[in-house]
Amino acid sequence: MKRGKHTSSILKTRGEKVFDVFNIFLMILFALLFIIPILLVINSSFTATNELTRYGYTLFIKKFSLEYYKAIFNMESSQFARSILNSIIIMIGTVIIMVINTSLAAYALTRRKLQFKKIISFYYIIPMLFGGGTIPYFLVIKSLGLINTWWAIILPSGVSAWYILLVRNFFTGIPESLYEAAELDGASNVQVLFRVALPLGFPIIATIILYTSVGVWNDWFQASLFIDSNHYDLWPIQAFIRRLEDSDEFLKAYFGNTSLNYSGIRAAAVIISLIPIVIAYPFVQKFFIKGTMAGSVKE
Amino acid sequence: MILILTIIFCLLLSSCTSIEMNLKRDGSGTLDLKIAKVYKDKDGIEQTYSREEVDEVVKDIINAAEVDSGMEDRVKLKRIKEYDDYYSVKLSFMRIQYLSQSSTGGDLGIYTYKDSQDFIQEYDSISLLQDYWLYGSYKSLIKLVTNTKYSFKNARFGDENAKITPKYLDGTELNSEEITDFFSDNGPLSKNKKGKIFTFFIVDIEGLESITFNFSGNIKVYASKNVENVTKSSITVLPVSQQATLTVVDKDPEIKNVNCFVGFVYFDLAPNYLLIGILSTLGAILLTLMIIGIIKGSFKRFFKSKKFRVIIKNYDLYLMLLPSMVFLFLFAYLPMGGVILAFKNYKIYDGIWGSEWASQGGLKNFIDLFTSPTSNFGKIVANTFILAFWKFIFGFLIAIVLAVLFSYLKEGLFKKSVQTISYFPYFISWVVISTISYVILATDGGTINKILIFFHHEPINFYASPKYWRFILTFTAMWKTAGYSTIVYLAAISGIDQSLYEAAKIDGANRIGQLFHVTIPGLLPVLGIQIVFSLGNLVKDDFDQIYTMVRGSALLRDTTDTIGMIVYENISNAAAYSSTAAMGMLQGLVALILVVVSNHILKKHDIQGAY
Repeated sequence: MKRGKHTSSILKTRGEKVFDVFNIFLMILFALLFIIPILLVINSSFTATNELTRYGYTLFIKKFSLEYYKAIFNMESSQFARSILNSIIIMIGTVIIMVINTSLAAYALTRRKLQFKKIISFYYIIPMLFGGGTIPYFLVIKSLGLINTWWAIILPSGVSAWYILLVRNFFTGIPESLYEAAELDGASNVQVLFRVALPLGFPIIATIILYTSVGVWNDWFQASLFIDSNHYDLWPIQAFIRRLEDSDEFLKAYFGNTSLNYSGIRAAAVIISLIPIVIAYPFVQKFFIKGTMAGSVKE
Repeated sequence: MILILTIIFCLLLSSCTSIEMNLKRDGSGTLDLKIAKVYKDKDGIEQTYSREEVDEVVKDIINAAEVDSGMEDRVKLKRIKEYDDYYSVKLSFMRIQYLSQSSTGGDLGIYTYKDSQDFIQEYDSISLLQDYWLYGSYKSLIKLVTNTKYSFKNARFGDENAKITPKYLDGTELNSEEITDFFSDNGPLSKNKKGKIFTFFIVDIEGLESITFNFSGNIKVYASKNVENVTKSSITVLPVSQQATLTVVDKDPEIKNVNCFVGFVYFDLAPNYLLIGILSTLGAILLTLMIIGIIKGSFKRFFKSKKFRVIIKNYDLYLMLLPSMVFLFLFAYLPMGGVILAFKNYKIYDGIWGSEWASQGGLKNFIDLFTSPTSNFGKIVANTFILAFWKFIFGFLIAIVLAVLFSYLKEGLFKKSVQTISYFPYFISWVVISTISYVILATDGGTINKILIFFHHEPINFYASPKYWRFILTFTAMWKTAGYSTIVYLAAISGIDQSLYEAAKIDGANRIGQLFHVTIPGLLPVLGIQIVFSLGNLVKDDFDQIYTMVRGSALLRDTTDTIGMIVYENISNAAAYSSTAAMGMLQGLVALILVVVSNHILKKHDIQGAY
């Protein structure tokens, strides 16, 4: 069904026309609400120190400068660049484990010939309903010996009961007859997964890959929970930026007695961290509507 | 004849002071203290105990345990009974160590009760053992022997220069090297890895004639020193020596009569028969069921059934489930088991299982949350709930209003741009939003304060004014998620049958009428599911939002201290793990109840539930 058909009806009353104009005006304001704050940060990252200190955050760049970006990549022991690399490594690791875990489980849960499906499904639902809390979680990670390693972030993020059920719901939409046809051709369960389920389920797999990537890229909590400040060379980018935001001392320690405006340095770091999101965003947007719907409409 | 009997009775009387302890596997237990009313002190003079003095003694013991552990209820008085010739005091203790960790002088000797491996690993224990054996605990006995009437109230750490050397009954001095040898890498202890070590040092209780330790279950003693009268489940210890050399620096050594109970026993506890009983009963029931099953043929039927054949044939499906099940077990189910912490008194060195159970039936951590005067649990819960409530209400309201407004926009570039822009913040991290909002809120050059100054208004220091933060946090949460959360409703609106709108129009309904009679009813099923998912969030907090947004400002705690914040703060404070886990568990439980109940209600009303 075509979306919003009733709005394109030619027969509009006067009130409806007024409403439409008002609505457009409202939406422009609404969009500005999102654009302006981000623009202020972008501008401050490009404004030269003197101007930034003098005028603060502005809608127009008073004097263009790349000094913060230069500083942040020339910083001692190239900590920032390193944190970007760390994030990428963690992201790749998480995505690989996540895709394996999710697609295997979701596919198995889809098949009708899986016995005891109710009980097994329940095993996946319980973690969505109740969690032990941060302290027991921390102690488990600790007792597994994962503290101060990337595994502490990668492994727990490598499974999500929610994504498994999401993908399962999508797979359920694939007609069983397709599976059975492949099986008649002599395909094993694993082969059916790779020949039928995964190709047809590509949109949903892509969705969870993108979501997981964005999630890992944006995560600072697990990193600051499991990697202490003595191992900051292992920190991902968000944990690093949070430290920059949090304390002037940390910033000083890295940039020495810089004459640069601290806000500018922070803004530059933030803008760089946004670049991958912006690049990925068109792809994310292409998939997430489908993903959200698959999760919320069925079961 | 009567005279002889009286003399014997008097002799018995003088020797009836004794301690009897019952020890459980975990080191907790009870203690029976028999205190003779009349006893002879070391100089042979008869002394009497009054009831008040006994009370004093008991108070000291309990107080000492409290002071040293920093917690109440570690040692509890069960009862004091007065008999013709002695007092019987019954105490219970959560760890035998609590009877000994005294720095105030109210203790009953020094005890350790540990797994032998732990004991060996902690070199301290051995050196402590050696220390006490030769010097430590007997220091300052001088004071005791010379000054106090009853020696429960000793001054063990009072006089650093005093020293006692206990002797064996045959007169030879106790040799500390025997102990180090015993615990050394090649010693007998290292060969036998299991078992428990129990050590005791009691030197200064006047009139004390014997100590009996009863263990729950049978014991097998591997090795011991100065332990006598070993029975199946108890040991009775008599004083090692009645004599001690007290040396005070700058004074001549004095010989004094002191009761010394010094020694250790290395033993193995018989298994816990109760647990074995329960497990074997369960096993027996299972076995019986299996046998019945075999006899009745239901196993045979199952193994022959189509179901079983399907399982065997598709074993690879189950293998596929395995990895995610293992992951979930490790990172979701194990932490769930960790809520046991909330019922314990967590000590970092004892671990979750080793730590003892919290008092008051394990509920102390929970009771404390509500009753302890230092607990600001009420405020924390209020902060968490109020914030979550605003986010909940506005989250739905804004998302639905936006979705309806979006749906009235004409398809095209404008609609697409607005949507694209409004979805974007959902994918920005809170760390980044923290920087963005700082640009808006900063006192120095922040947008809002610039506007305020422009209108000649005093600037506001937002990062020092807690009253604004409920609004700021709600607003930023909306900023991040509002656009994204419209997706579901937009899809639902586009799924509404167009003929319903046509019919409404024909009935003369304007857009507001259509909204209430067509759009909103059409949104209800989706709304139901969304509410179920969000209800659980009513007691949760977006911890990462608050933590990053407040940027470490301690001035905002009045409104920003939520459960998540406290939990994160306490990650580095193992002493608070138990109470924090209790908090987290309550939060999780309430969330669970909310979700289950609301899902149930939805199902009852024929709206599709969340699971």
